[in-house]
Amino acid sequence: MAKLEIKNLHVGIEGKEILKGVNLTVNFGEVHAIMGPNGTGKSTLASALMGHPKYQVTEGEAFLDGKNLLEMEVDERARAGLFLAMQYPAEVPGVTNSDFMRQALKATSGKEVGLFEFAIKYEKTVEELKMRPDLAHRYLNEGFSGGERKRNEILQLKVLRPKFAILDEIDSGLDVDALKIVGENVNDLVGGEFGCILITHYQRILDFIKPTHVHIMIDGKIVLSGGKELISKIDKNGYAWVREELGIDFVEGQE
Amino acid sequence: MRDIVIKNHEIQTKLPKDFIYENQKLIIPKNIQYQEPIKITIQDDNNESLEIVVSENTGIKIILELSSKEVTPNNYKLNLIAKQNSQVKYLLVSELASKKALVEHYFTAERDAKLELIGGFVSDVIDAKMHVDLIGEGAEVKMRVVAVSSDDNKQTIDVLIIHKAPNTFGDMTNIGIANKRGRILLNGVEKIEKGMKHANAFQTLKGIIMSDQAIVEVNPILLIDEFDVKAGHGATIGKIAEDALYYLRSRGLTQREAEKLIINGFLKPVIDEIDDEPLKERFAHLVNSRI
Repeated sequence: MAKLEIKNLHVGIEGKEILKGVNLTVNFGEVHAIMGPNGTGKSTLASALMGHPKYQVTEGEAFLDGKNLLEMEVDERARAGLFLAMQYPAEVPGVTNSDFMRQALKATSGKEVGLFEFAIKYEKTVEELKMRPDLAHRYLNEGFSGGERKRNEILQLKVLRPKFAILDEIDSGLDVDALKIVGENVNDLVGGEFGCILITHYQRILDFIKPTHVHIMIDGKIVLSGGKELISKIDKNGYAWVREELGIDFVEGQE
Repeated sequence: MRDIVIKNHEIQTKLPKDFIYENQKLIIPKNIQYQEPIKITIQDDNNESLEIVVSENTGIKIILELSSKEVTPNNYKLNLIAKQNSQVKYLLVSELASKKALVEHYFTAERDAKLELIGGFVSDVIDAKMHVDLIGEGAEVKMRVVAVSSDDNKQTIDVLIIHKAPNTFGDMTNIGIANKRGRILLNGVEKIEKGMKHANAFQTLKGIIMSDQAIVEVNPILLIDEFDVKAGHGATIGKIAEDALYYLRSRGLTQREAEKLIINGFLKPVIDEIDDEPLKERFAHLVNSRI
């Protein structure tokens, strides 16, 4: 069974260390929620695993199916089966969603993708995410509302069917209806040959997507791992108790 | 689509009804709304001049193709006159292999004439002038020019719009894309003469550099000699946005595939206007072979 393994990962940005030794293993069928206050390195973990050029890995390892992720280019990681649903996906004028997705599907699946077959699959997914029917012909994220961008990320996830996905604050800025749509669509994928890391600092998305594991990240490290019981504890008390129970001192910062 | 082929100053094809061609001048009849575009090809002719007159109240789309594989110096002098109240959509596609090509294209818009001009330059070395005179009140021009340069080729594109009447509208969007050691000099000049009240002049110039040795220079210039006008301009030069590249690559596209997709996105407004399928494919192929 495939797994995503992160071992003692240290990551810095412009010389400043953000991640200070993260360990995490995700197997197929698992959903790992990583929670924590702002500015503790959750999104850094997501970006570093995908290979964003701004982040430097200074120590540690990451493997997908036993293959060394950190030696791969961004696109090689994607083709190996990793997907990052981004917090702030870029706008690409002039490139239609369907042209982009068809090429991405060809790249990640390694197979030719027939136009007709693709169009049917894409339209169906557009409906599932309750997006505008003309989405295929609109330019990639151009003029999209925040909620549309997030849904477009999940739509791409469903079309590309990666082995592992990291959802970086996919819930922020979504209203209740959109949250439900996003949650249900992610749930459709869970259980199969798929593993997921869900990064959030709200618990509301976790009403829709049930994590198998919950981790609390503070100051660049996972300080506590457990099950769903951690969610309700955070829900009731925020993160202050972590400080007391674990004796960790931290300040909430900016992402 | 109707095709007109001109070679050695002679028409090689049958002219559409009521079109007149004499002394290198093509006259398109008045009061007709043409549903289908016409394509004029000037073929392997290194020294050609042509004047096209669109008569009063006529609406038409014209695709002018300059095509030559000759590497000797090329010299084209073209003139388009849009008579009163005509509406002309005009696409110039230039793919010249010449190491020294000069294309001078003049446009004149009379009263209430509307010109929508698109220039696609995928030649090697070219010096092109696109010069528009808005001589009648209410005349409008929207100009989009795209130049793609690669290898050691240098392209100089001068776009000039002169407002010679009040209540005229001019808008230009010019994009230069340079790869390898390609160079592009893009000058966008818009001039409003004295007394031409309520003229509108807008410019957007964009340079995209695809390699460390490519050079793009853009000069947006507004010359205004009248107070009661609206005008604005902006220019940017840069590499392809890193965040867009990263985004596309994170979905499995290689660096090159991502760059190509983004550049084709920039060119899409131009390419989409080419109704002629073989020409469209050739143009897209040529652009892609340079980036």
